[in-house]
Amino acid sequence: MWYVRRMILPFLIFGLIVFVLSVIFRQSIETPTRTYTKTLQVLSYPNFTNTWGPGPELAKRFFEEYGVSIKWVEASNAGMILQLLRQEHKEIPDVVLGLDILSLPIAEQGFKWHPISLKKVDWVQDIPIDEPFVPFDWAPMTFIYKRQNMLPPKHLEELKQEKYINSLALQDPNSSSTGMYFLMWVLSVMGEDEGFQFLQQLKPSIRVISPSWSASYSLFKNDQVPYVFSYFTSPLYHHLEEQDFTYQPVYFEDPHVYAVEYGAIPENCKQCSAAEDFLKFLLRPENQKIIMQKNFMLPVIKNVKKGTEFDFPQKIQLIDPKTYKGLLEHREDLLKRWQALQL
Amino acid sequence: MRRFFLALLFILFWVPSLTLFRFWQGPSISIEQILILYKIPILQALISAALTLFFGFYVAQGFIFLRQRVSTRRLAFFEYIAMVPSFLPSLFVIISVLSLFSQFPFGLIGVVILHVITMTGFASLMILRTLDTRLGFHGAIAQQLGATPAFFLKKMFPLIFRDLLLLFFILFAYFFTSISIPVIIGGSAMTSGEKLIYDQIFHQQNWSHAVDYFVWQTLLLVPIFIFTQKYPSSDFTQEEPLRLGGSRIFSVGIFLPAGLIFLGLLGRLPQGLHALFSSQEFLADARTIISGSLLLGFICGGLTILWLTLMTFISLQPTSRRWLRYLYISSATFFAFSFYTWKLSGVNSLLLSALVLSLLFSPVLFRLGIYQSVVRLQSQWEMALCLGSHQGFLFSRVIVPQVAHHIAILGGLSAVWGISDFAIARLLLRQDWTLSLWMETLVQQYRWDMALVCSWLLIVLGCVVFLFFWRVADVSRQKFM
Repeated sequence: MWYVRRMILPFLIFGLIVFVLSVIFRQSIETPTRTYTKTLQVLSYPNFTNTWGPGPELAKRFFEEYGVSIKWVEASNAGMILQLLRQEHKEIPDVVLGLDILSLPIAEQGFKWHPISLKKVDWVQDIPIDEPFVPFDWAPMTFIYKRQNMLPPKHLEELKQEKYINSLALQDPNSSSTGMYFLMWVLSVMGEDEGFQFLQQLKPSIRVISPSWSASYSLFKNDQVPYVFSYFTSPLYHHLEEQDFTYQPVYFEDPHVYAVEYGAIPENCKQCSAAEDFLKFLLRPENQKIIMQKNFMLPVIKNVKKGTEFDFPQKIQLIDPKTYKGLLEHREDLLKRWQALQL
Repeated sequence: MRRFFLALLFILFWVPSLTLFRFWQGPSISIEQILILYKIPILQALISAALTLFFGFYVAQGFIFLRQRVSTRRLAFFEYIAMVPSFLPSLFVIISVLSLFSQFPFGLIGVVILHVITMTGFASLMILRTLDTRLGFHGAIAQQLGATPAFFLKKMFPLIFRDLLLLFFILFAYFFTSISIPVIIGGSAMTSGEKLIYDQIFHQQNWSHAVDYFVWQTLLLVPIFIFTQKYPSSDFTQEEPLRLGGSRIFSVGIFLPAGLIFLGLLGRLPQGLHALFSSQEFLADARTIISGSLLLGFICGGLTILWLTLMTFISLQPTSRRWLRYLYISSATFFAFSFYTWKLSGVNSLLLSALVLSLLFSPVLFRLGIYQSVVRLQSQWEMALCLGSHQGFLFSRVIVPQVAHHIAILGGLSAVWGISDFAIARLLLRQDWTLSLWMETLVQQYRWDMALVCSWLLIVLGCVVFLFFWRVADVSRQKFM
């Protein structure tokens, strides 16, 4: 007590600071949506739910139209989204946004989903529709480079040439979905055994294999590496936000792999009808445009990207997703073979 | 009372990790596999520790040179500069080094280089302390007798060997459990033991394997931790600054790592400032992330002060002190993940993050800043008890006044580390409520320049919180004098 008496002023000041900060912090995170009667819990990844992502704008529009507020719950990636669902979090989400083609088999087998009927949606070609999963954006994948660097390749095979030594930043398929897309791409285009042979020969061209897309992209941005495997739409961020037109995607003559993001409604949803409304709401042209512009992905319905930067001048050849759906069935074996390459 | 506090600390440190064993599906990794998997992490940690110690020794020579030419105040400032890379967020160091070197090596070599850059300053100060306590007195005599520095150090090396060995093992454990640098620079290679656990939890979602790795890591690190409890091995207090020797060339090593980082960041500052001030998102989120960071920092610092005070009280009795060495978290990722399963949300998750971070930092800070003082006060404590003093009275009137200053400073340090953490907070908060989390999201969204400016802002916030605790330390010193 003697100690407390002597130090009473610092303790009081400390308490006061913590109290004031708590009040400011609580006020800033409590949005008015909490006072509304109907709230939809949406589990998604941070890039979607952040202020600069499409989430807040979509939530605002959804509330204005349906009177239902959105409460975002975040998980870092598709894997963690499924893990959170497995954990039966006390805030059971009504909608899950951010599953992708790679996590779909796990989501189909491991969880039960509320059915949703989607009629009269004018889907763009090539998007695999797999109800009850609702695609809401997509993008082909390729290598990105800066225009001043060098002439880009036209075939995957060219990447093993001497001029590409130490030039590629890839992601590890064990830890990154983009890495898995790259593996699927190579194996789909070349076949399984030939694909692994090619990867072995590609070794001198690989400068780094990062555990995450963000790490490798950051290295590319810092001119540590001339080519990075990323989304076809990645350069558009630099074009639109930074007015930097040096970033370009590589158009391969081989068909490109592509990523599709899906939303779904868990079977034990509380606001199931509002959840259905929300997923259908995402597919409206005006909302698809918001997703396109803020998430830098392509819309899944026709006529949204027309006349915008997202309408690429060249036709992009895409691989048939059925080829890598088959590959994904023995994902573990593929990963073991990848590890055995010791790239 | 002491047993109660000891039990409380044990529950806080060990029970959360043990709760994750419910996901364990039996041992699935053989010893052969572990040997293969741990080959690179052990190699990485061994090389990093050896090189850090090697360069640290020479930088310590630089300090010896400077202390003969500059004032004590200026020398203290140089010490802070040398410590800068160790106390900055790792992401900050990585970004700046990569900005400077366009062909920075990745994998094992890159991890080792960055580890050496970040920890050489810290190691040099630890070595300097060892040289002062062990050789300072002899150095003064040797100087009088005209011994050359090389001859003196060669002859006296056996006196400091044990301390250097212990420091080597401390560094080894630190590098083996390092996470941020191996995750970004290590590429797909598993360059640290912690990364193996991190990978299983975050990417593979195989929690049973994560438990396996945790067990193996604990088995490896606990003996090292118990062994290094004896650091510094000298309990005597005859500390005299060693003035023999010193090197002008090696004094450059004091400023080199901090200078590299500063240069790397400065280059991108104008673009970053422009991006930040034209960002509507920053203006919209500024109140949340700044208040969130400060709140996390203050609570983390406050809780650290509480844990350090409890540890000081417990450690005054030698039997309890022996138990205290088992308060060790062998895997920060695993420990934090056990709290993730508590499923707290909202402000409570921020408080939980502060609790977890304070628990992670406290054992290290206790070893670094309090342990020696406690050992020094042991005789006073025992003598007063023999004379019939009451423990509570003794603790508050004799012990606390002598350690309160250190505890407050260490609380400030913990607050700064807490503010700059993004790995643990990411797991527990789920939303970008602190500046470091906001910064990490910026990096993920290509906004590299803005992320760099946020790093500067992060340092400003860290300084604000640290200054508060510094002031508390000052006040406590004045009050108890």
